[in-house]
Amino acid sequence: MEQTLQPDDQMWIDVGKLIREHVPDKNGKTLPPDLSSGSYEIRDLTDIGAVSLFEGKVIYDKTYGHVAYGCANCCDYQHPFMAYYALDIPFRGTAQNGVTAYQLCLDMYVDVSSYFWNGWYTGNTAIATVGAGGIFTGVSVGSTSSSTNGTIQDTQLRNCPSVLVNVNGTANVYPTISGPNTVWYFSNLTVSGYPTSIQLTSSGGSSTTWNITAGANKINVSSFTGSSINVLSSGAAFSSSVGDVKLTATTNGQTSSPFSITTRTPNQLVPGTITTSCNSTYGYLTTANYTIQDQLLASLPSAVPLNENWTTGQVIDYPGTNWIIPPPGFTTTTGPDFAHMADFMSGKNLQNSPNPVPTCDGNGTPVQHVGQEWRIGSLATGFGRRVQTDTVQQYKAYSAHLSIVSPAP
Amino acid sequence: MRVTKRHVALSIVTLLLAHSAVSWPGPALNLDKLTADASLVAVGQITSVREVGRTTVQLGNLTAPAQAMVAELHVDHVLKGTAEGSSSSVSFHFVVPDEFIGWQSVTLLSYRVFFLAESSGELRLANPYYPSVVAIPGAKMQGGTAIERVIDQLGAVLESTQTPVQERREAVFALSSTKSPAAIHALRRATEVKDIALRLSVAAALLEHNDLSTLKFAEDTLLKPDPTLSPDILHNLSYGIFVGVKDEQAVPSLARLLHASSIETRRAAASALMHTGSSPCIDPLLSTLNDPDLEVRYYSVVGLAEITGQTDWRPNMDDFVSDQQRYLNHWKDWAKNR
Repeated sequence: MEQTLQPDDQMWIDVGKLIREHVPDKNGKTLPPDLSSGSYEIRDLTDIGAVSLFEGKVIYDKTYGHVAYGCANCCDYQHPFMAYYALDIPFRGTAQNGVTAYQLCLDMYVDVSSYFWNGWYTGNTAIATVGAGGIFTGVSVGSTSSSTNGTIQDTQLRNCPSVLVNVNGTANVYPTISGPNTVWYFSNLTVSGYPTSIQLTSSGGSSTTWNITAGANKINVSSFTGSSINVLSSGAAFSSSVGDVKLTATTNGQTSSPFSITTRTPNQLVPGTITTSCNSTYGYLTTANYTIQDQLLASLPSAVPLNENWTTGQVIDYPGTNWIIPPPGFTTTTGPDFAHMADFMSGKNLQNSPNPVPTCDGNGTPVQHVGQEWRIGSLATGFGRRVQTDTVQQYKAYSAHLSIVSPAP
Repeated sequence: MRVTKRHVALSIVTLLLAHSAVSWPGPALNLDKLTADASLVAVGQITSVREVGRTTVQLGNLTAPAQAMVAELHVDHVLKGTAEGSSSSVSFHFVVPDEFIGWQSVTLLSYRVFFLAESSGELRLANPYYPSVVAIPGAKMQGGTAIERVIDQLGAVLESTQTPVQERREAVFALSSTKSPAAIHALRRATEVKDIALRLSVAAALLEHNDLSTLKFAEDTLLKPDPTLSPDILHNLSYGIFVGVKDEQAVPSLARLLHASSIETRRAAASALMHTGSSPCIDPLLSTLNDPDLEVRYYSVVGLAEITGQTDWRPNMDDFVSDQQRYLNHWKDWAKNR
């Protein structure tokens, strides 16, 4: 039921009559005819923050002749406090604070920030500033006081008077860290497109101290003090999940949020499709496809040089053969599938009187084999991160990688 | 003649490479890129191949001597670009290194789809590793994009019962290297070919693209492999599952494949469950924690960690090898208490 009350005006509600006469509310709902108990609430719909609404009641029991009276208390707010007593604000970033208070009738804490509009200020605007709505801005790294005031019903008097209250807190501006979040390792080689040394910078300036809070065995840092540091992979251990290496920067007693880094290294070759086709020059051509993955099973994201190397001498399986082992090869992967490479394995050039003559009929007569290893990160034989060892076995009509071991660091 | 250091270096390289054959790494085939890189894609027959001089090929620090060649292509269809002039033939240049560095040659009378690019006013191979893909005369020319027209040519080879199986398999592998949906359609039309090895190659290519239409056939083959099948065929089938299958509907099949006798098959099933990454995969992955193969156990642990969001219990391979029991015990305990 809604009714406009003038000053000193009053509104009488006979609940028994509402029940008996099935009087509908503004939504058309009526009270059940057998209703004998329940709760109710009165509210000043204008909610102007300075209400003076009183409630009183007389309860009489016609059956047994009982009469009672009573009046409700004010649904005011108690003990307002800052939503974040110590508000952390990133340097040159923003953070929102507010005011929370206990609401007696609801028996819960509610947001009363609207009563504190335009009441915010900080103790040192060189450290942090604050707008009318409680949005703080970090100006420089450090700590300062903060407070706000507003008019709010904060007493338990029945006339619900509004009073001016002040709440206090602190505003801490912490440094931020910026820089790349992936560092690669190619056995101490630098590879274009893969950062192997990354620079992290703290907004706190030269007085910053750095701390590795997780994964300390996975990185080496150039320094633990200063505004910037260089981070390299330790080469001894690598990330188990994305962002599992964490650093913080501390300036003027304020510590940054952890900055997450992932260390990666080429780790394995995943053998893909193998095909053998006839070839008019070499008799046959076997193509063994591979995908280069890092230790998190992710495909390498950019072009990368790689090389093969022979780990044994030629082992002849076909007496009298004139097939030989040439120098090992190399290549750089190309996009868009930068992680994909192929090993092309052929018979001997048919114009060079090969013995045996390579064919294209599936003939599995072994001719020769040689130990092989694959390294990622360089075109130079024997350099780069080793990812696989195997044996190249050449047959008359096809070739194969046997005894594959990958990873093979 | 004055012998310079360059001549000596060249001679040494030539000597080292003389009569060589074994292996050389290079790029994997990507039919989309090959088609995109070519300014002219044409189907036809090579009517002449001739040497026009000597040249060298520079690969990194390696200078390899080679023959400079010119081929004449009688063009039946142009799939991309325009063949200059009114003639139905085009000439293009290519290089044949004296020794094998992975580059493929152009064979007289071969009938194929050639990928050519203009360079310094001449047509050359768009990619020396992949000058062409298989084709057959008489294939219908259809509309669509350049890659779709190339796929049509490969589809015609695949469906041609007159074409040797070897070439039809080449068509399958070329089709598996494109992301175009048209390739899936072409492969699906060949799922019932008679030749088992070819049908398995088609199945492998479809699985690599997460198409499950042949999964049952693949499962039956991998659980009871025919000993006469080439190991490469079975490998490719496992690889298709290993890298391509990510569909929850495959979980029952993958769960059965976890019990295959072949390590490679079990690895493929565990990897596919890991890639699928949804809760129905949890029970099958838990069942492999005692698998005799380390890689199978590893994929299971990683899969479980990623599905349940327990990243602290997702080791990399090094961590797993050095402290394997700790991770296995965690997941076994987790299974008991979930």
